[in-house]
Amino acid sequence: MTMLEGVEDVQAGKLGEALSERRSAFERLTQGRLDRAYRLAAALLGDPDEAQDAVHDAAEQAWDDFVRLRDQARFDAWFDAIVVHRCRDRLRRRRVRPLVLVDPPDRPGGDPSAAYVERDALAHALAGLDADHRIVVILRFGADLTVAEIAQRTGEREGTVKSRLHYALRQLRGAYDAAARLQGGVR
Amino acid sequence: MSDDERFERDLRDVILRDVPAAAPGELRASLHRIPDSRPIYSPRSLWRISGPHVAVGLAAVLLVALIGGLLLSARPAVGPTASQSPTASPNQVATTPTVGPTPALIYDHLSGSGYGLSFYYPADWHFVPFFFFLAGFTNGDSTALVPNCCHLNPNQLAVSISIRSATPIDIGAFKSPESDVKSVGDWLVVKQNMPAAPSDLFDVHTYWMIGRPGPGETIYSVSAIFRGPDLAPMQAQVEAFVDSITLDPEPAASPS
Repeated sequence: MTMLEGVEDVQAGKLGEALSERRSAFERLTQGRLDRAYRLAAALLGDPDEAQDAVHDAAEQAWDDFVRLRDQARFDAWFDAIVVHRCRDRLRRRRVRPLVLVDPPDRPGGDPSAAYVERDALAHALAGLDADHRIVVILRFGADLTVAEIAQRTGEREGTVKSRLHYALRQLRGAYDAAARLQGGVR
Repeated sequence: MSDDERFERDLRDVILRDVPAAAPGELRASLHRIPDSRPIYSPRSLWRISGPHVAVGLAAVLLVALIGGLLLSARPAVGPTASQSPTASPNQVATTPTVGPTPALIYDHLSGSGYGLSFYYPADWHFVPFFFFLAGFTNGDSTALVPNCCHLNPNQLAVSISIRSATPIDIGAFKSPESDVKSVGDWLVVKQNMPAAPSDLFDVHTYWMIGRPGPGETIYSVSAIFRGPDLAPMQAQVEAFVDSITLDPEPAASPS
């Protein structure tokens, strides 16, 4: 064995160790975040199967970019942002939004059909939002994130997030209240 | 509970209703299979590789279109033009299924569209785009109704259009002796009169599905409920409405 070959062996060994450490750190962090990321994708896409594909794609991209993530304490928000980005791509590619069916709720007291119609209206209005507005609503009310946290995950400014949230909620509330009035008028 | 609190509670319920509690094991296992080293292509480098090929392809298409246009314009006009003759191409999805609105039935109509569909409907119907829902009435009650929920007054009808794209189904599987199946181009229109349970909600429930045979395609469903006694004119209106449905020029793609 020449001296040069020996140096190459040592370098290859160190690279292998570094890769192994990086890989195990990635898997530990990803596995820890997986349930939440999957639930977020399922809420964003409204389709658990597609959510599985989106999160897998996001994990592949995350692994490609993991070497550039300097602070692993920021992994959760960083991975969420990739998931949101992947879901946004899929939402924008859709020309047909999935049908949303809402089961009649079991609410003690009150008129169950009224609650059903209001929630159904809400589900349809939510399905009718475009990708950007849907995302802020889901992150705010599905993932309970603050405006600042939403901005971090969508890569938008806080003002943009607030504006989208305001517009989307106005649409949703309009549909919700209209359904409530409809119920009042029909019965 | 205030209205705002009730709204937020219902919104959270709607968002999280069908969200599974945890990631499936298959997804968890798939993380281990991500290879340590994956090829990475940047869009810019791909464009550098394929840019010249794309440019050559576009030039060829333009040349063919130009020659074709010249040949067509030089051709003597005999027989029906291409736009008048029926097309049997299996790729023709933009204009099917349609036979156009029946003027005698929808002489005063409006047009509506959404989710890749366009259609005509009688001017005295109410179209509620949020619900993708139409309601017709002849008794002066202008309240738009939501089918399968509310009471129809005498001589009222309600139509709702739904889309099933998330779950692949084969429209061909819905052929049955009770169904009236019509082929329009490479699409099927399946009409079925649903057995109506004795109810004060409606008298007749008719259901159409529109789509291409085979799994994984988008299926549109049209559900119409009627309450008599004058059923025939209302049913004719809905038949004409269904016949007027066309797909937007670009076929609606299933989510990938």
